[in-house]
Amino acid sequence: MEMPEERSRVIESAKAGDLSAFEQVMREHERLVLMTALRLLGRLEDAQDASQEVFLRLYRNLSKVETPTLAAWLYRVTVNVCHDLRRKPAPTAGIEDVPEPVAADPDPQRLTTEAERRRALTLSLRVLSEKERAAVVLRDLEGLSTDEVARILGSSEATVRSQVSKARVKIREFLERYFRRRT
Amino acid sequence: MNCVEWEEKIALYVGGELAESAAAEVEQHLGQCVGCQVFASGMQQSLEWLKSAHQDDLPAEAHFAAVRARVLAELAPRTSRRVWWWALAAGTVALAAAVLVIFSLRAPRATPRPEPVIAHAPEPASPPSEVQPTTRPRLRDVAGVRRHPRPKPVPQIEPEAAEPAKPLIVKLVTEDPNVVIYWITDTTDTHGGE
Repeated sequence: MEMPEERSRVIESAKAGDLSAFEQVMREHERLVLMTALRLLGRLEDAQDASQEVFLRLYRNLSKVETPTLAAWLYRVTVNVCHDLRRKPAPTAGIEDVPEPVAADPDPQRLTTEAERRRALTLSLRVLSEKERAAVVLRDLEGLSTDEVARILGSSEATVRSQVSKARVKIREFLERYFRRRT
Repeated sequence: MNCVEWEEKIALYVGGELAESAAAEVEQHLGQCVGCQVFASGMQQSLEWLKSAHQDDLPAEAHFAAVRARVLAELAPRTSRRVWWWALAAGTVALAAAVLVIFSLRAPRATPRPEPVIAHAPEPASPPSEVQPTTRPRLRDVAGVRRHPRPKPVPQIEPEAAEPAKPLIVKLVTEDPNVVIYWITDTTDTHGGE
């Protein structure tokens, strides 16, 4: 694990224009950015486009970003960039749109394999509103606190709690219907 | 309150995000409602899946590398342009400094010494010691400093119309340095003129 001093030194080098240092900063935060974007957008290609834009914005704003708040800054910009990208027409998925499994299996236990579960979760995120999705991705998938999510999204904790609870209910209903259809 | 209205509270309860009093209300309802117990159980499972999905589904390293490569490809020309501009700016400053140094060494002083004022008084009638120069001494002759050509000095002496005529003095130097012969001639018309 990299020490905070070392991390600060790398970021300072990146601020001074050292591209190899900036590449190191990207390596440290690329999972955060790409996975958040992937969960918000649902397509890897779109998530890569979003990640590219996020890191370019980071490079342009390096002098303004404080090292301790870098992760929160990246989350916020990722959410904003994904919001901009989603203005383009995107496929929406309802339960009717869920593809049939490759091989029908009557055993529900075997249906809930890891791959199937991941697929169901990915699809469930698509039925959420944009704000609900951002709140639940940051709160439940990224594991941030309600307070952190509220600061990143620029809203109150009460609003975030409301968005997260609605999102969880919708996800649960989606998963229940999804696996009921499979059985 | 029907069970649908409990759902969002149960969703927060399962996530441990309810205040103590609100959590107690939910627990009380769950103790009385089988349907909400089933709902809470399903909610618990889906939440666990969501949280465990944090580690799941990481794209292959190649996808991360592709993003890095695209970002660096975008930034590299900017960085090289910035270096080029810095080099240009540094070269310009160095050139300007060199020009300034050269000019400061070769140009006259910014505040030249006051030029000595040579009064052009009428030549004394006697006793002349030596033939006086007829032009003003130049600064470089006095201070040993080269100067740019200056405009001719404006004569400060009134026309000599009102002055008496000067005597013509001729200095004759002999081989003996101790012997100098002066020939003084009155140029005025002693014969009354016309």
